[in-house]
Order: sequence, then C-alpha cells, then structure tokens
Amino acid sequence: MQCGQARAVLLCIKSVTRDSCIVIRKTLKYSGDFTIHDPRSTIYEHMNDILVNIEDLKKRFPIEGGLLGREVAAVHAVRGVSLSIGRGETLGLVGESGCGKSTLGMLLLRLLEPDSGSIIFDGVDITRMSQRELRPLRRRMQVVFQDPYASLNPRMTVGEIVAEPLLVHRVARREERRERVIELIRLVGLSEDAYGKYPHEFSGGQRQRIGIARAIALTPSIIVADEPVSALDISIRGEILNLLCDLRERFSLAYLFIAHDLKVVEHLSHRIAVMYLGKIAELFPAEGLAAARHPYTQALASAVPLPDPGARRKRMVLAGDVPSQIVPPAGCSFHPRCPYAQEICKNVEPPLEEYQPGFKASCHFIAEMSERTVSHMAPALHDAVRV
Amino acid sequence: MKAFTSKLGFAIIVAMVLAALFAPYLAPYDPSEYHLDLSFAGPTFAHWFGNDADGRDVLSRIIFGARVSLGIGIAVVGISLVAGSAVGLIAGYAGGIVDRIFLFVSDVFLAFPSFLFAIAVAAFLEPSIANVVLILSLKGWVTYARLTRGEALSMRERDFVAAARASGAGAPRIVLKHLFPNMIGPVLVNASFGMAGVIMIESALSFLGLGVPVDTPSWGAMIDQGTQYLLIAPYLSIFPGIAIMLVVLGFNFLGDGLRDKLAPRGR
Repeated sequence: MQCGQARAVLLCIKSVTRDSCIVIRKTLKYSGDFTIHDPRSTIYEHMNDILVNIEDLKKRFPIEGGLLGREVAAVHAVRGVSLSIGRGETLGLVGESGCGKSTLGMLLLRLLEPDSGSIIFDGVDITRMSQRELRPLRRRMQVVFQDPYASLNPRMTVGEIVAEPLLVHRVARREERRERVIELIRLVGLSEDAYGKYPHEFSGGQRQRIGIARAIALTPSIIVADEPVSALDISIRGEILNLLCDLRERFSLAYLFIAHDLKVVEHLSHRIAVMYLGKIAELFPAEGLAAARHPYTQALASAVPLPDPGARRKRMVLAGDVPSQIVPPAGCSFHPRCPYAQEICKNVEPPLEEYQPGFKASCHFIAEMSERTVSHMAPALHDAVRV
Repeated sequence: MKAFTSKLGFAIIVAMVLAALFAPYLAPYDPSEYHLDLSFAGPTFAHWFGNDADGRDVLSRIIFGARVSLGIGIAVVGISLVAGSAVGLIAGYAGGIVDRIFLFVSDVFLAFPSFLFAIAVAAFLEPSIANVVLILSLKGWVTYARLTRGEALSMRERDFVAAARASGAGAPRIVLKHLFPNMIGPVLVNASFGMAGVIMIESALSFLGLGVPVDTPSWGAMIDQGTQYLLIAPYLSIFPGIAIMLVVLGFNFLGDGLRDKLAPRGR
C-alpha cells in the first residue's frame, strides 16, 4: 500500500471512530445534572457507581523443574493491581506484550485463579467463588478475544456459537432462541444466512463480529475485550471499534479494553490505565493523554505514529528490553529503562498516587515531570535532585 | 499416489465388509460342511481356494472368517475408542491429580508387552470371541486415552474453550461439544490403524490356539491348521494369509489417507 493511502485510511478510521463516540459523549453529557467540559472521565468519579473493583490483585505462574516437579521459580504476571471500573465505563488497559494485561482481564473474569487480592463485582466478592457459584454471574461478564481464528470452535455453526451462552443459561426456548440469535447476528452487522455457516467461511473481521455477538448474547454489564482489533487489518479495525462503540451505547456496557496501541484505546476509553511489568504505572482520563506524566506513558505516547509525515517531534525511545518477570527489578519496576532514574528508584517502590485530579501514577519524580518533557529535561532533573 | 492408495484401501475395506455382511449369499459352500472325499484337493474351478484336510471349502471359510476378524476388530476398536476417549478427555481436561493418576495407570498398562499380556490372559480364560474382545480391549483403550488426553490438554487452553467457560458452560458440555469434536480426526486415524493391529493380534492368538474356538472359521486359526500340512497343501495357509495382509493393508492405507485429509485444518 502506498504511504498516502495508508495515511488516508488512518485518518478515516480516526474520524469514524470519533464520530460515533461523540454520540455517546453527548448522551452522557445530559445524563448528569452537572456540566462538565468533557464527560468521558470525570463523570464516573462523580457518579461513584463502581461495577468492578480490584484490590491488590496478584497472579504468578509457577515454573516447575527438577525430577520432583517442584516449583523452582515463578513468572510474576500481575503484581498487585488495584483499579475500578464504573458502570458503563470503558477502561483502556495499555502496555507492552507480556506486561500482564491479558492475565488481568482473565483474572477479572475468573478464567484464571488469582493468588491474592480481591475482585468485587457489583458488590459481590467473587475472588474465591467456586465456578458453580459463579455461573449465574457469568451472564453479566463476557469476553472478546484477540485472535478471531482461535476464539470460535471450528466444528460449530455460527448459530450454535452465538446460541451457546443462551443455551447454557437456559434463556429462551428453541424457537425464541433462534430468533434471538438471528437478531444478534444482524445486530453485529452480519447477514442472517450466517446462522448455518461455519466460522472458516468468514474473514477475520466477520469472525470478530461473531465473537462479539456471542459476548453480547446475554446482555452483560461488562465485556473484557482482549485486544479485539490487534489481529485485524487496519481497514477493518475502525469498523469493529465502531461496532463496540455502538453496542456500548445500546446496552450501556462497560469495557475493560485491552490493547497495546494507545491510539486505539484513546478514542474508545473514558480512562486509561498503563501497565508495566504487572503493575499499574499510570491511570488517567483518556482526554488527558497529553498531560500524562509518567515517563513510560510518555514513551508509549511518543511511539504512536502521527498521521502527518511532515510533523516533527521528539521521540522517546526506550533502551533495553522488558526486564525479567521471573526476577522483577527491585524498587520501581521501570527504573532499568527510565531515562530519569535516580538512586531511590532502584530501591524504593513508588506507590500509585494521585498527582492531580483524575491522574494517578507510580513514580517518585512525578512532580518534576512536566508535560511532554522528554530527554532534554534530564539534566534539569539531575539538578533538582542534587538540591 | 497417496490419493490412489487411500482409495484402494477404502475399496478393500468396503469389499471385506460386504463380504462379511453377505457371507451366506457369497460363499459357494457351507464353511463347516465336511467332504472327506475332497480332503486336500487343490484349487479347482469348483473350489477356487481348494479344500482343507476335512474337505471344507477354503474360500467359503475365508469369507465367513471375515465376519470374525472384522467383527472382533470393530468391537475391540469401538470399546477401546469409547472407553479410552472418555478416560483421556476427563484426565486431560481436569488436569492436576486426576491426570497424574491416569498417567500412572496408563504407564502400567503400557509397560506390559501387548502380545504377552494377551497370551497370559487368554491362558486363563476359555477361548471364545467375547473373551478375545475383552482381552484386546483391556489393552486397546490406553492408546485412545493417551491420544485424547494429549489433545484435550492442549485444546483446553484455546480461546474458544475459554469463551465457553466464560459463558458458564460446565465441564461435560465443554468436553463433549468443544473438545471431542475437534479431535475426531486423529482419533479416526488411530482407529483405522488400530483395526489393522487388532486383526493381526486376533489372528496370532487364534494361530496359537488361544483365540476363537476351534470350529469357528477365523483366518488366524486357518493358518494355524494349515501349518501342519504346509508341505503337501501350502495354499491352506497362503490364502487366509493373503486375506489378513489385504485387510491390514487396507486399513493402513485408509489411515494414511484419513490422516492427510484431516490433519491440515479441521474443516
């Protein structure tokens, strides 16, 4: 594809996504009795209506070795994450691959067992619930996976796939169920004759629509969308994002929207959480991306390609690789790659603290980080610390 | 070439199955009818494969023998497949301690040499078709259990299984609707090779006199009886030998073909 074309497509996606989100913004704007500048973030803090609350959640995957199969080490995937998702809120979760964002999503759904911490879903502690006890609650939390080729059973028809949640929860009788499934298939933008076809007859984007139809079949309160567009062609992404946007409006869904691309997340989310090595590095309102100060967030933001090739800006390129998750670095987990790291960062772990309304970060020097300061401010920082 | 051999295999199996089903109509003579005057009469136009020591028609006995060989093959593979898959699926999906116990038990079963095991058990039991099926199934389930357990182990991590769990589907539904239908390919391939193996072992057991009862026309038993007269009437052993070879070859060809067809990607 020519450069120009690619740019056009990107711009197009951007505008399309924005448009449909604007509708939601407007709806939200008039739903409260207070006026706010941009309701995407602030509204939820005021509503104080929490759907999911996660406290200090941890998950490690043991590595067994030796003849006896004893645990020799563990991969620390999620290392104490606390966050909350409001009713109808979309929380974007961003981070490099392997930072534990998908694990966090699977823990929330209890598809993985947490080691410690707690998950409160709509006031009910589901951390230690048995799968049987959990079953009725499963109606209210669903999942959309990244790989549309792996997430649909190749031996089931689309009708069977979408009907499965209804069948499991004994919603509707056979005839009714069929109608409901066809309605769902139409709702996600597929034609009715998809009902009797098999997944392999569809493209990646269409398959993702099937996965979404299955996820909304029981009209859940929250959907964990685990990189739902990462595996799709650029040209399809916008469509799927729009669909997710429309469904959010229609069913007042909350999303935990997992992605590694800040740009995708920014347009859909109300708030964004940036994850690094199993911890939350920063949490901020989506429209406040430019004001987010954590050095890692800045590095991620500077990696987003700009639609204008003529634009110049300083890019912050991180040195080195993501550190080992088996032996995570002491102190701040980001310190080995942080251009501003000081002695304290190597030893003391910074807590996740609010540094301005709606913005939380875990960084010892968050106060010194001004907006969009990149490498050139490093010497100034040194001075500040010396004094 | 591959396509040809698998078609050939399929054709052989179909022919054998038809022969077994319509044996009374196809066989020119009663397989148990004695004609002592025809004792050791070689192949003629009236008796294509000749007559044995008691003057029984060899062709008719081979046709009826297909019932025994295929019948035992289908019964053993059927029982092994159902029982083995059930155990393997449960072990593979449950994992943990259940899986470890299964692995231990299956290792014990695998540690016995198949044939010796069959002979040892056969020595204790009366020779009968039911006992042969029992003996061979006792060992046969392990293969299917190991196979399905391995498939289940890898498949339970797949996204569509996670999606089913997220939908609230219980273990029975996941195993029956999501896991098993996706491993039918390898299981069928195994079953067709298994058929060949079972028919071989059954023949060998009957050859040793530990298989089916003496009068039952079984290919293995026919070879066994023929060995006594190998010098004067070698065809008594050769023709049932060819029948065994054909059916084993047929199932192996079919298995190869199935594997090629089913392996790349489900449907």
